[in-house]
Formats: sequence, C-alpha cells, structure tokens
Amino acid sequence: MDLSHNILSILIWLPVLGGLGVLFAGDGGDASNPRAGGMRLLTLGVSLLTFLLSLFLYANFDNGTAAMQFVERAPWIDAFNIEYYLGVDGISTPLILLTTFITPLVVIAGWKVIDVRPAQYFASFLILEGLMIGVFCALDAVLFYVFWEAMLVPMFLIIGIWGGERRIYATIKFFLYTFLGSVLMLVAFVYLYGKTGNFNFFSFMDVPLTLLEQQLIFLAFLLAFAVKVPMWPVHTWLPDAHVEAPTGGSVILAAIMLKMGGYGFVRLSLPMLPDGSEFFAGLMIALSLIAVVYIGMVALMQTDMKKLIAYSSIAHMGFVTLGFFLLWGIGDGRGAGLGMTGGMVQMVSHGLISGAMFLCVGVLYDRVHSRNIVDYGGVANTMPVFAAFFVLFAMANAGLPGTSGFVGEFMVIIASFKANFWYAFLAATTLILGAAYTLWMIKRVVYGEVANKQVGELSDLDRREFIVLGVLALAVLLVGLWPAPLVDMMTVTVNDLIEHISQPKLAAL
Amino acid sequence: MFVTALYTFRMFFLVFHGKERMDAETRSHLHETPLVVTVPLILLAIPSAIIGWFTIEPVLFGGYFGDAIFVTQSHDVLAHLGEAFHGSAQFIVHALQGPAVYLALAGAITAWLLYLRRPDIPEAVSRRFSGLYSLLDRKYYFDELWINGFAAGGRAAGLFLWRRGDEFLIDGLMVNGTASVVNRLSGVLRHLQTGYLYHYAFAMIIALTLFLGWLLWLQ
Amino acid sequence: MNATDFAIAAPEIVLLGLICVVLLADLWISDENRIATYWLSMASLAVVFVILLVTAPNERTVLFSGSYVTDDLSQLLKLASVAVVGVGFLYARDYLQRNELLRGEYFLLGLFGLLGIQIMISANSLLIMYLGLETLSLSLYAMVAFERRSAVAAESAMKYFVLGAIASGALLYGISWVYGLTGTVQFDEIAAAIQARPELNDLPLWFGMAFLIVGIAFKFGGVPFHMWLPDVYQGARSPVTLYIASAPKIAALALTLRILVDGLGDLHAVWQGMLMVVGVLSLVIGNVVAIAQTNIKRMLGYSAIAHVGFILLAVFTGTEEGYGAAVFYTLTYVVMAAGAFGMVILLSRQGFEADAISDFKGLNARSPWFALMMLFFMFGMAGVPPWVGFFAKINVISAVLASGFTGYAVLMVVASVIGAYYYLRVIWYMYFDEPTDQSLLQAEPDMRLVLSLNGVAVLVLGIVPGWLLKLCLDVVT
Repeated sequence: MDLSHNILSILIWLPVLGGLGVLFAGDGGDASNPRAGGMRLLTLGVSLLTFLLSLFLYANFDNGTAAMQFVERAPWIDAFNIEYYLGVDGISTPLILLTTFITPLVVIAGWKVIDVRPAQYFASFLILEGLMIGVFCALDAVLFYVFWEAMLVPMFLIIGIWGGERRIYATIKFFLYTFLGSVLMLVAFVYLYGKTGNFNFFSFMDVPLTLLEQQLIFLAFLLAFAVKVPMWPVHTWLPDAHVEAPTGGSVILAAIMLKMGGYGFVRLSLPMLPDGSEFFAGLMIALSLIAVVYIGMVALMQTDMKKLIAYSSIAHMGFVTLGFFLLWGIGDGRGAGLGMTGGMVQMVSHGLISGAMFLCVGVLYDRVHSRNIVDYGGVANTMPVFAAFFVLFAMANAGLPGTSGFVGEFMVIIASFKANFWYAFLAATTLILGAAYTLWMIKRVVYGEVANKQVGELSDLDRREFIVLGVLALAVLLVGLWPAPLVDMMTVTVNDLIEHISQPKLAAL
Repeated sequence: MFVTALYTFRMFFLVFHGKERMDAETRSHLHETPLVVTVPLILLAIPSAIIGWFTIEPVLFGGYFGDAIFVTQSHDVLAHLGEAFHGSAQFIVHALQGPAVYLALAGAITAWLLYLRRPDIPEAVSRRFSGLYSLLDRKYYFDELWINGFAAGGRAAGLFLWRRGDEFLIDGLMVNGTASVVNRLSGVLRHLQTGYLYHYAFAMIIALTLFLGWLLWLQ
Repeated sequence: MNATDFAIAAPEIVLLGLICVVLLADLWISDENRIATYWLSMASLAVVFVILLVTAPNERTVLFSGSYVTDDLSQLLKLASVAVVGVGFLYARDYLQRNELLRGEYFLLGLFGLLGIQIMISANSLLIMYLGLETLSLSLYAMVAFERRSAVAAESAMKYFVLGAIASGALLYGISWVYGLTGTVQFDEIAAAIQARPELNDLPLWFGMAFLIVGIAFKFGGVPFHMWLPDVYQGARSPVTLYIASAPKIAALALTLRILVDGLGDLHAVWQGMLMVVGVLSLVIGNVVAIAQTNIKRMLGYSAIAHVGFILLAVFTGTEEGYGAAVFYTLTYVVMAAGAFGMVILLSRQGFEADAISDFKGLNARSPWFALMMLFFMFGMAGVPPWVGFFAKINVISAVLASGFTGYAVLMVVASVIGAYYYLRVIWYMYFDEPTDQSLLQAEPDMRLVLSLNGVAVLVLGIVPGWLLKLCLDVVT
C-alpha cells in the first residue's frame, strides 16, 4: 500500500481512533487498576506510531515546491460544497512534526503522575493530537473550523478534570474566550462562502474583495487568531489556563495550540486579505511589540513559575506575529521572507522550549507540589542533572546562540532592523527582558543555598523524566545548531506566499 | 585583543598559580571537580579548541541559516572575508602575519608580569589612580545603574502592568466585567418571570398591541 | 372526495383507529398489567411509521376539498414526529413505572397529541390547522396536570391552559380576519387571492396576520409569548416535559411554514419584522436568563426559547435556504432535546426527581458513558463541532448572511457564546465535581440502549450531516 495517498488521513484519524479505543477500553477509574498500565502502553504505542508516520511524511516531503502535497480531496457535504480537503506545504509540515513529536513526550511525562481516570486522560491527549494535526492539514474552511473548535473540547476537559485548584474558572475562561474568538471567524467563512460558493481556501484566496470587506474579515480572523496566539490584550486566559492545567496540558497548550493562531495568520489572513493585512500591519506590529515589552515586564514580576513561563510564551509569540507583519515595512521581498521564516522558526522553537520549560516545572511540582519560586532554592545541589537541563532550556528561552531560541529571534530582529530601527530596538529588548526573567527565576530556583527541607530531600530525575528532557534538549540544540533543514522546508512556500500577498486583491475588482 | 588576553590570563594566574589566598575551610572543599562538572568541561574544551577549524566555513560562508539570511551587497563583510579565506590552515598562517596574535601574546605576558612576578605593581597603580581604579573596579558603576535603575524600574513597571493592566483593566474590567454584567442581567431578567398568570397574559397582550401599533405606523 | 383520498390520508386515519383500540383496551387492562398499554401504544406508533413509509406521495397532493395536503415536507415531519414520540414513550415508561405513575393516560394523551401534530403538519386550511392545534394543545394541558395530587403540576397546567386559550383565541380571531378579507381559509387560495388582488396586502390583512403570529409565537415559545414555557417545563413531570419539548416543536414549525409561507408568503416583508423582533428577543433573553437557572428542566426551557430564536430567524429570511435551515434546525434540536430530557429521566429514581443541575455532579464517576452522552447533548446544543448542533447553526447563519443580514448573524454567534456557558456548567458539574450521590443508575437496558443511540446520533449526524441537510432543503423547494 502506498502511504502517500492517505498519509494525512492516517495521521489525523489514527490518534483519534486510538484515543476512542483507550477511552472505551476504560480502566475502572483509577491508576491502580491493572488495566491502566495497558492503556498507557497503548497510548504510547499509538503516539509513537503517529510520530513514525509523520517522519514518513517528512522523508517524502518535497522542499522544492510551494504546491500542496499529499493532497486528499473528497466531497463531504454536497449541499454546501464542503469538502474533505487535506494537504500540507512548508508551513504546515513543521508544525505537524512538532505535534507528533511533542505528544509522545507528554504521554511519557504523564505516565505515573495521573492517578485519577488515566484512560480518559490519555484518550483526551490522543484525540487532541489528531484534531490538532487536522487543523494543520485542513484546506476547507468548514473542515478547518470543525477541527479548530473540536480541539477545545478535550483541552477543556484536561484542564477541568486534572487541573489545579482554580481549574474550573480557568477552563471555563479558556473555553469561552477562545469560543468567542472563533465564532466571528465562522461568520467570516460563511460570508466568503456567499461570495465563492464553496469553502475552499484557495477560492477564498482568489476571490476579489473590497478594502472594507477585507478589513472586516481581517478583524474577525484577528479575534480568532489573536486569542489563540495570544496577543495583547486578549491574552489573559493564557496565564490562568497554564497555571491550572496539568503539566501535559500546559505543554500541549504552549507547544502546539498557541501555534494555531500564528498558523491562522499565515494560512488565512495574509493570503486571503492582502490589502486588509497591509492596512492593519501597523496595528499588528504595535500589538506584537506591546506583547514583547509589556508582557516581558509582567513576566519579570511573577512569583509562580508556570505563570512566568506563560507570560514568557506570550512575549515570544509576539515575535512570531511581528515577523509575519513586517512584510510591508521592508518592501524588499527577500527581507520579508526573513521575517516570515523567522516567525515560523520561532513557532517551532518556542514549541520545543516552552514545552520543555513546562515539563521542568512539572518535574519540580510532582516532587514538591508547589509552583512558587520562593519554595525553591538550591535545587542544583540535590538535582544536578535536572538543573543542567533546566538551565539549558532557560538559556534557550533567553535566546542563547546555539539553541533554537536564538535562530528565530535573530532572524526576526534582523528583519525588523530592515523595516524600522525602533521596531528592532523594542524587539531586541526581549533579549534583555527574556534573559532577566528567565535567569532570575533560574537563579532563585536552581542556585543558591538549599532553601528548605523539602528541597534538601529531592531526588534527581528518574529514567522516564531523563528521556523526555533529554530528547527535548537534543531537539533544541539540533534546531539551534543546524536549522537549515527546517528553514529549507519553509523557504519555497514562504516565498510563494509573499508573492501572493504582494499582489493586492483590490486590483482584481 | 590585548585587554582580553590580559584579563583572561589574570584570572588564570590568580586562580591556579601563585600564593594561596584561601583559608583552611575553603581549602578543605578544594578537590578535583566531580564527574558531572568535569565531563561537560572537557566536552566543552575539546570543541572550543578545534571547532573553529571545522565550522568556520559552513557558518560564515555556507548554508547554516539556509537561504534565510540575505545580506545586502554593500554590507557584505563576510564576502570580503570569504575572498581571503583559503582553508583553515592558511587562515592560521595568515593570522600569524597580523598584529592580533602578538597583541594577545603581549597581554598574556603583561598579566604574568603584573600578577605573578610583581604583585606589588597593581597595588601601587591602584593607589595612585584610585578614582580611575574604583571606576573600573565598579565596572563604570553599571551594576548600580542596572540594579537600582533599570532592574528596579523594570520590576516596578512589570508590577504595575501586571496588577493594574492585566489583572485590573483587562481581566477585571473587560473579561470578568462582561461576565458579571451578563450574570447580573440574567439575575434581573429572570425576575420578569414572576409566576403570576396575569403578568404573563399582560406580556402577551402588550406585545400584540405593540405589533398592531407598529403595523399602523408601517402603513 | 374519493377512495384514494382516504388511502393517502391513511396515517392519520389508522392512528385514530389505533388510538380508539388502545383506549378501549386500556379499560380492560388491570393496573398490574398496565405495561400492556405501553406496548400497544408503541405497536401503534410502529404501524403508523410503516404506513407513512409505504404511502409516501410522489408529489404534492391536496385532498378533502383542499383542506389536507401531503408533500415531502409533511412526510419528513410526520416520520420525525412519530419517531420522536416513540423515543419519548420509551424513556417515559421506566420513569412512570418507578414512580407508580404508569397509567394509560400518558400514552393515550401522547397519541392524541401526535394525531394533532400530524393534522397540523398536513393542514392546508386555517381551520384544519386550528383543529390540529387544539387536539394537540388539549392533550398537552391534560398531560401536564396528569399527576392529580401535585400542586405544582396543577398550577402549571392552569397557567398553560389559560395562556393557551388566549393564544388560541388570538389565532382564531386572526383566522376570521383573513377569511373575511380573502373569502377563503385554504392556504393556496389565500395566496392566490392576495396575488390576484394586491390591494389586499394592506393594514386589515396585516392585523389578521399579527394575531396569527401571536398564536405561532406562543406555540413555539418565542419571547414575549414564552412566559408559560419555563413554568410548564419545570412544573410537569419529566416525561411530560420531554414530550412537550420534542414533537410539538415540529408541529409549531409546520404551523409557521404553512401559514406564513404557504398562505401569507406575499406578506413576507411585513411578517419579517415581527419574526425578527420575536426571534432576536428569544435569542437574547433565552440565553441570558438560562444562565441564572439552577433547575435543569427550567434551564433547558430557556435554552429551548433560545433555539426557537434561531428557528424563527431562519424563517425570517424568507428564502428557501432559510426554510430548509429551519427544518434542519428543528429536527436536530428535537433529537438533542429528547436526549437531554432522557438524561434527566435516567438520573431520576423513585421519589427523586433529578431536576437540579447539581444532580449531575460527578456523573463521570458514576457512569462515564452516560456522562459522555450528556456531554454530546450539551455540546450539540451549544453548537460546538463536530456535534450536529453546529451544522444546524451554520446552516441558519448561512441563510441569514445570504439574505444580507450580517448584523443578525453576528448577534446569533455572540448569543451562542453566552449560551455556551450554561451548557458548559452542566459538563463542569458532571466531570469536574465529585458526586454527592453514589447510587447506581436504575434504567432498564432498552432505555440505556436508545439513549446511547440518541447520543451517538447527535455525533454521527454532525459528522455526516450532508444527506439530512440536502433532504431538508429538498422538502421546502
């Protein structure tokens, strides 16, 4: 059988069906049940198999074309010309790989920690994985929206069931915030359907729209994507959701779900609404820079490690949106490519780093049951191996050269230099602020005297945790030292995209 | 390069050579580094010594960043460097012909002189130029500026933005504010449902009257 | 009038005959064998369902001197209402047995109500429509009061009856205006009369129509004619609420489409304004007030009002897409509502009515499967994909946008977000809270099976909604 005809469907439905299998096989509700062990192995198996299949996708991916690859197309709902239309290009493939790479790690990280209803936990993650891959593959607006919204359901349950003390507030806030953001996108889709007669992304790209239409649709999309990214000032769901979510939930949220917003801008807003995007580019850059500076300062003051990393995520995602919307400031096509590629690389890198940071906090939390910085100090004395990893990821978070964090930020800063000195100046403050809040946290948690008895009795990483963090550390260094494969995957698509964006739609009217 | 070599070797000489300046307790802690430190140190040392040999070409002139970084023609320093680059071995030979290596050597020798052979010289110097010395010793007072200026200012700004901006304005007023308005509205509107039959009937009749009035107006 | 007329109207005629049989049989069945009435009723429904399938007309047929019509729309709505009444009976049986309420009245009144629904669906004249409506309404009044000793039930039945009488009076008054002006009560002839004499399209006819709309809005439970609905939903026993919340909505849709579209289609520009007001108010008030409820039946009552807002706004567009969307929305809503009230029944025990939202606390720990089913119903109603409620909503939004009412589309989605909160609250109670009540669910296997199928249907219809969407669009064109 030739996989390449339906590899994307397999990538989507294998985890979903695996998740349903785990859910229905059940486990009697608690982890001590012998069946729970089988559930874990099944989950791990499915997620690893998905990862291997995504490597097949990577191996057969053609860097040389901007066209959609591995396309699958079948009618779904004839009454509305809705299609089951999948395909990937250089923008979506790295994010799919990121998804399939992170999920097994999350499964391993939750191996022993989850003692309430483990089958539902693991099933939620598998179903979530499939839906997230679906978002990155979908080329039909309704299909995209179905994946986009359905994804909220498992995450809602993950935070609500296995979260911390204020989990209910956090998860309801998360759901309603993102739901409110996306419904207007739905209205915009249906409006575009009224113009084109189908929900195909490519016909949305080709349909001529007046400037006013583009502006309104841009705002509708903006709300959906800005909430997901999240951009200031619609970011306040994120710190709550991150803090209350279980470690695995935080990792998926930070590593992948935030990327959906960035992906949405590149896949929908920019190519479908070039003139609307140009009109709002200044606003987008301003919001991105606010995210970098304002949120960076807020992060400095956090006393809760997870909250600190959550704010740091917002600041780093500011770079992504900054990179995407520099285009009109630069003018010259090649420089614009730098900003956009930088944003894309930053998304992948942030996925790895923020995921790793949350896992590190999770390791500490599992032992001490506190996320407060003041409850720690001198962890390096009792957990030297862990400290090494934590410091490495913190350095990466601060953008140290040689780690993945450097590559994307550096590219975006260079691009913003070409656009405007002050953009670059403000963007570069993240290097200072990022280093300040990350390293200050590290200093207070990892170094210094052993703060209390609990820290004194900490045991270092076990094999399971070591594998998870080790694999992530390798990935962070790999992307940092040798980003060329990642960048090469995107280059052609990004250039094609810029080509598309730089042709105003208004001319066609 | 002179200065770099000077301070590097100063540290090297002060730590590993010359008189011991530590007390007994510190001394008892002194031992060869544990494995967890040594191994990474060695791992780091090996590539620092030789990594330049292998990586200079791809990083500077090759495809490290893929095609992502484009340098405008007029600013292409690397390209000039690239023109003069003929492999690592020649690169070293070329370096020996320039002043850089000798300046560095001079720095190392000065450090050896000042801190190993004649430790009294720096002391005398520091006494004579005490103002300059303390300016340098306190790193141009940058630490003070950092700690009391930027860092404290940044922290205060962060606290303000977090408490006032995020928690009060955005979350408190906009997000939870909307939620509580809807909630309160719900609490008010539910009281329209009084349970009295005549209220219900009146509601229907009033609505019907309004419809009829609207139709009259429409005509 | 000839023999084929009777053949085509067989479903109603057979249903009436079977009701008489059940009525008589029930007299001879002793109390301990009362379950036989249930089986007889179910058998009657099965027979009617089969006859409906067999007698499906190929084309629109008008019978009995123009007062009765069968077409694709009537066929679809009748099949759906028979099926949903059957499901309702099945859910009800268990509950009635457990609470020692198993008497023939529930099933007989239900069958009479169904007869009224069928007549409304096939009515081609205002008087037949009124006849069907009264048959249905009288059955419902009696059903609500069916537990004689309960003061709450009696109170809500009284409210329902008095307000229903006002609404019926308004409807009848409106009928007399329309008859007086056009000289006919048949929908197609009314339409023809207005076409022939455009001067009819003026204030007097509008007045008559306003009274008709009061009747329609009351039947649907649209704001501000909704006041009976929360009280009746809460006051009636759960199986009765289930009945009221499901099949009669289909009848109300038929009432709306037959009168406003078939009969008064040319007055679209005028009735559009009234439907807009009722629709928007229903959408907003229903969703907002539902948030404050603690009783799940009352909450679902307000949620029904909000859904009615969607249906009325779909009809409001005055386009075929809009009517198709209204049909799709009504049918899928009825499936979800039946399931949600089925869950309330499932959780109830002898002497214990699980009608507080907090009774759902910790259901995930007690029964993960049925918690999942309730999750399906709630997300379905909230309009979250991939459950079918999403396609119902997108369908209506699409029709509204196609008619150029972008503002209403935005209002709809924002109201949905507000509405999502109270559906989420049920899920939060089920999944995030610990159970306060550890007792096992007592339902019989057949109820468990059908309720599960009901829940799975909400998901499957959401994944493959194409055929139903197409069907609903076809029956109105």
